[in-house]
Amino acid sequence: MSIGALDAAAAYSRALTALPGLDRAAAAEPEVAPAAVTPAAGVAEAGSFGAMIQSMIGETAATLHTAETESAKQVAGKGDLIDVVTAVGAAETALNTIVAVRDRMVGAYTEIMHMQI
Amino acid sequence: MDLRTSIDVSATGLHAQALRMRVIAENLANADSVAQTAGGDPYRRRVATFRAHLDHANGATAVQVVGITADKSPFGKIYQPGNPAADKAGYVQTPNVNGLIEMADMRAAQRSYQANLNAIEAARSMTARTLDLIK
Repeated sequence: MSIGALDAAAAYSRALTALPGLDRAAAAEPEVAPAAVTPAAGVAEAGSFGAMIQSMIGETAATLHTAETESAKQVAGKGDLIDVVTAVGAAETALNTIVAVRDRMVGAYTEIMHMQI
Repeated sequence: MDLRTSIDVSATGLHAQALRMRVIAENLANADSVAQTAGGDPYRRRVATFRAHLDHANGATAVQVVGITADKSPFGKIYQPGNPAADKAGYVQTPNVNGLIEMADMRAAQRSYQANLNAIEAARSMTARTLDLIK
């Protein structure tokens, strides 16, 4: 299957419409190869893409905060072990997602930097 | 996200089975608890009851604890005239707790808990494998 520039642009626009949804934005991401990101990044407005990343990071931070609160409660002897485990698991998944997306973005950036002019 | 929801649903299953385990522990601990007054009722066995509950926030059907109800089966009776809980005829009523039934219940709770844990593990590994696609 070949991935053209228009496919990449479509994937990005889908990612942007899924702004509040972390999972949907991440799901749209795999369709984009690092090489194909380059033209699409030029098409999409820098601000809106930044806003998407910002909201993703914000959500991840909120999940991590929940995990921390639950862990603190558990240490204090007031928390529930099941809640702690699920909260920490959710935080781990969210962090893994944001790290994977970040790696993809950095990969695309270095790809541009190494481009022969 | 469905996988996240499935983890949440499994977590409610864990909560439910943990409560069931607590009730079983109470039953076993009180297997010899007799009345405080002469001729009074001893500890009555209790059971946790569950029901399916639709969570409107994520559209998933989770399990919810309805309550802890009393087991209405009859009490046992032993002849012990010296016991402060004995009635005029010298009989002491004993709790309707049966160790074998509690053990079977405990095994069921344990297995159910394990099944929910396995479901959580499977959902987590599915999420991780999906994420591996962009790594």
